[in-house]
Amino acid sequence: MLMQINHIVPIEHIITLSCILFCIGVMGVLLRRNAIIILMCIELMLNAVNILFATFSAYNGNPDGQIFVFFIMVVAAAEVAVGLALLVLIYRNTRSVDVSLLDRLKW
Amino acid sequence: MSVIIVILLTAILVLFLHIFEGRQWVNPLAILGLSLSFIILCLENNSLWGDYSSMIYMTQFAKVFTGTAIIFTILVFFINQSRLKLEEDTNNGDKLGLVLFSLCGAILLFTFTNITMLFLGIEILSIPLYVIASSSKHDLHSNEAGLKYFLMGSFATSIILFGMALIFGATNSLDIMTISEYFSQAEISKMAALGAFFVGIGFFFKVAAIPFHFWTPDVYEGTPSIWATYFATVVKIASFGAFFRLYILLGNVDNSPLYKVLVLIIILTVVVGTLTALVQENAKRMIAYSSIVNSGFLLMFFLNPSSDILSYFGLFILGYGLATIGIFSAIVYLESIGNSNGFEGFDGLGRSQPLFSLGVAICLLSLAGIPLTVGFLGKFYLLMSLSFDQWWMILLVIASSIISIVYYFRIFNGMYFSNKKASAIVAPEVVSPYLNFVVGFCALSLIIIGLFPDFYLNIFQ
Amino acid sequence: MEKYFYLVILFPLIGFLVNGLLGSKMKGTTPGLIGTVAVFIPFLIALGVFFNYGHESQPILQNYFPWINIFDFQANFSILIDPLSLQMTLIITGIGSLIHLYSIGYMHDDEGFARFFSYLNLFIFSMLLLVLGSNLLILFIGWEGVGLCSYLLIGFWYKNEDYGYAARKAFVMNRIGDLGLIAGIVLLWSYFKTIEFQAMAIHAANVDMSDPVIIIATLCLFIGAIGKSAQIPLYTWLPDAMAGPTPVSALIHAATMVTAGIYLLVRAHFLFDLAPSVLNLVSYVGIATSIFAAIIALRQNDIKKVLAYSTVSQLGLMFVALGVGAYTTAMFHVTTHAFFKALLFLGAGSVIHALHGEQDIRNMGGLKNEIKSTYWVFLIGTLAICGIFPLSGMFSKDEILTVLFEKSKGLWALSLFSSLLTAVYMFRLLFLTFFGTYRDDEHKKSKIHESPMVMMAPLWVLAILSVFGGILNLPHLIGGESYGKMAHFLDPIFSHSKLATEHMDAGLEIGLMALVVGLVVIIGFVLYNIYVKKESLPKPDMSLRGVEALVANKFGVDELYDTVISKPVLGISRFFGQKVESAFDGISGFFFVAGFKSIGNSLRKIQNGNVEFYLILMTGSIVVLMILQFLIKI
Repeated sequence: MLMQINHIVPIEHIITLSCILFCIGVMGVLLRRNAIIILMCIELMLNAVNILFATFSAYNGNPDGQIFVFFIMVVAAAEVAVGLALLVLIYRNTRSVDVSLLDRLKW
Repeated sequence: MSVIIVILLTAILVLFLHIFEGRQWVNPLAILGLSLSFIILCLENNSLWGDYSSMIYMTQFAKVFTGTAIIFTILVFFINQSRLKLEEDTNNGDKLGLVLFSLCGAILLFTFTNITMLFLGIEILSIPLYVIASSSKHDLHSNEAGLKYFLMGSFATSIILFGMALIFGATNSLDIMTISEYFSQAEISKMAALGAFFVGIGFFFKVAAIPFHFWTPDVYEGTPSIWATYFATVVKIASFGAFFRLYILLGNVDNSPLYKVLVLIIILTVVVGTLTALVQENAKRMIAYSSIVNSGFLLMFFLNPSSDILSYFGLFILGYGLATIGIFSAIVYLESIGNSNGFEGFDGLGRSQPLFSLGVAICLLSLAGIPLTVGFLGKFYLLMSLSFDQWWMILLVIASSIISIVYYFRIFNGMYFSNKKASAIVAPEVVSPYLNFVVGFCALSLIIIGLFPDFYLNIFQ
Repeated sequence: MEKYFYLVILFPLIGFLVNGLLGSKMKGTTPGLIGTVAVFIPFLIALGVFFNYGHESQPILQNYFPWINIFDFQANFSILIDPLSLQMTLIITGIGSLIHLYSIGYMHDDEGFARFFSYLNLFIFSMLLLVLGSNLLILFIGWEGVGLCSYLLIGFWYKNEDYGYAARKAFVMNRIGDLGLIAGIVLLWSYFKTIEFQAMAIHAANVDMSDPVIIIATLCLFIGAIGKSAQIPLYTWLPDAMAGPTPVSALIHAATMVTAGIYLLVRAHFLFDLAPSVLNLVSYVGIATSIFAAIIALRQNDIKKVLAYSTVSQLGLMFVALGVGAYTTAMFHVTTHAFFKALLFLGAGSVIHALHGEQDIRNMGGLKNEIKSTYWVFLIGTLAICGIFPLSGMFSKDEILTVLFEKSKGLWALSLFSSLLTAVYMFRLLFLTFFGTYRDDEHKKSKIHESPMVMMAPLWVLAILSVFGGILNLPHLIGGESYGKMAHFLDPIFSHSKLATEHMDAGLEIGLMALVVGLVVIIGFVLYNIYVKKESLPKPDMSLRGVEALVANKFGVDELYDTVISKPVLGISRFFGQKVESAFDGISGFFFVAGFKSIGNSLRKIQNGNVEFYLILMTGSIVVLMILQFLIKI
């Protein structure tokens, strides 16, 4: 068991960090129009979550969280693979990865 | 857990068969594998112990929902079979494999007892769907649907994950029972409440509740109709199955972190969904909005959860799924003879294909909630489950059902009261026996279960 | 006999399935025969049960299978055979089978012959469920089924765009009424914890007068009845429902559908007895509708439209009777009205058939020499509805008026006025159609032909019923010992509602009767003068130069009548017919949909296709919801 180690950094700081990271990710998704950047920002959000899980795991002395992080990483990889494939497909058909141009389906 | 294993093996087999020049056997094999897994599901005794270190637990509720999902998938494959007769599809095996994988994810969502499994279930369900949505490679609509679904879906996943992390931080556990115990305390920490809130938001997205519904109409419209059927039924059931279980565990407390949000979202979903469905010009989009409205109804079951409610919830979603499959098979048929997705496609169908349209009509009547169908019973049970001081919800359900008549009956009107000559619009093409089977199955089940609901409700006991 | 009563419901259903699935493959009139037999056999069964059913018999509850079982709510699929449902069953199947028979002739060359009969059978099936169901839920199923079938039948000739619109309108209007009904059902269940009629009646005995829940619940049921029975403000679908083939109109107006609202109120009378204020409302709505529709009918030139408004008006009278608690009287009028209104509609159908689709009475006239048989039955129908002694309409209407005279002089006067208006528009219709000279070109005249036997036979049966229908419930004064048969038959249901005619001064009763009949006869003569002797025709555009016309015709008494009474009344009629009605139309349905559609159109703009925009909206909603959930305390 990872029992109480004296942590130098207080847990609140790390939570704040990951919240900031998450928000940066969200803002990136909202503000950028390049699909690749959006994909990266989603990854950023996932990484913020990873940090959060790892922190809680370490500070609460429960290894489950760290295992969860591995799952997130695996799934994120799969997601990116699919996402990039989709992007390539779209790029082939439209010669663009700008998501704001995609509005054939509406109303 | 042999059900998941059988489905997984079928999926792998399908993928290999596809490579080794056995294309015409791919679809029958998939149906066979699913039937086998359904039989196994029925024969399997309720395992009183969990599998995989107690991370999966097959309850009776999970069993019924799994069975329903498997049957819906079989029906979707039958619809797919009708398409294969008409066109050569070199990627059919891939698509079927992906659908089967995502079905495994759906089953995880019914059976999870650990947050990890919930997360994996969501992702195993969703990731193949992104690919399937854009499976019509040279169709820009399909591409667009896939990318939109992917962007919004993974965004929602991140939010669910963030919520999960907060819950984990507050409760120091991933086990759903421990978490549930924590949430049943009188006072819960802000962090846990925020976590539950974010997980809830993510699920509102997955079940397509307004204002997180934006993907639904676009994806349903862009995705090839056969797979849109899968989206509208199996995916809906899976998301709702997971959400309902989760809500009972986390949200069903006095100071629920989701109650206010839930009420607001239900109102928005039913009102906006109904009004927008009224003005759709495209049958698939109309069905998409109708599925949003039905999500609103299903969310109403969350307001007063009890053990009885589970079965009524199941009945409602069964009625919705069967009726939707029936209508989608009509859309698939119309597409196969070259009609667009507009309502005009249905014009004169009642005359050129009387039996087929009778089945479709029954599905429509069920969706509109006309008595003697499951749709009516579902709405009736819903009304009965609402308590007296929720009278405005009751009004909402009734008002929405009345308005919904207008848009469901546009198809109905087209089929039976179109003034165009039948032969002029619809080519005298026969409906594929597979489609006939699917529609007949849906219509008959809707009426039989509508007459004898106990038959279905008792399975839950 | 009672054992086989389920066949009554089953036969029409089988007829529907056989005709619906195999009808298109059958030759000739086979589907029509199947449809007719499928309704006629239930009639025979019901007749058998009726004769076995003595005054002392207990209501029979037949339980087929448990249907819904939820919480402590239970609804069985069961039927209740008691005098009320038995009487309704006899009307529905009896008149229904006559209409079926008639339709074989009327629809013989329609391409949707089999489809038509399958819908008709489904209609009868739904209506039977409605009246036989032992609880409110079965009633509701029938209620919805009737709405659905009327939709299918009104839009039967779907090639006409307007007809489809009329069908949708009827359906949506009915659904608005259904909202009331289902709200009432939920309320009653939450109050009584049962929706079985018998159990509710037992519970209701212990409920205080004017209990608020009962008042609201009865109000809801009444809204349902308003929708089905076409009262203000939801009546506008009924005149439009003329779009369907004429037998359908006869079925909707006479035997089924519109009587459903009356039936509901009678069936739930034990609740309405507890809510006197609602009963008052019922009679006010009834009288308003009755006069209103009668005034509109004065001005109509479509033979079916006149009859349609007359139905609305007669239904209004029935509601007035219900409102003062005279349930048997209302049921009596339902029965006689079923006879003569079916007769009139089918007669009108026969006229239309003879004229190859002509419906405008301005293009008719002089038909009594061309189609004698139809003329005679139509005459009988008209005399019956106007209340000429001793035809059936006179007895039922007289009974309503007598009851009203006792309860409220004001309502009596208004109802009298309404029934006199009935005489006016019916005589006008009769004279313009059958008397005078033929007003369309001679070429068409040569083609006029009498309807075939299969159509005339039902008409004569209905004519006989319209003449002798009064025997069913003779007033004490005339019938002597065998008076009030129907009232006695229905008596066990209304254990505490009294017979009005039993303690009425005989002289007064005769006086009232004579007054009504006398006035009707006078009206008949006046109109005969106007329309037959003077051959005055309704002008295409009514010019209201009242004073001028008065001066020009100062010597003619009938012209005086025409100007002083008829013209202003007709002016009002036109005003009601065009302005007020369209307002009702707008209020009660379609502006709603239009309004909703415009809201929907602005809402769908949110779905603009841009995924960026979606994501921003979603994030924004998350923030708003978060503030709502965690920062604002409600």
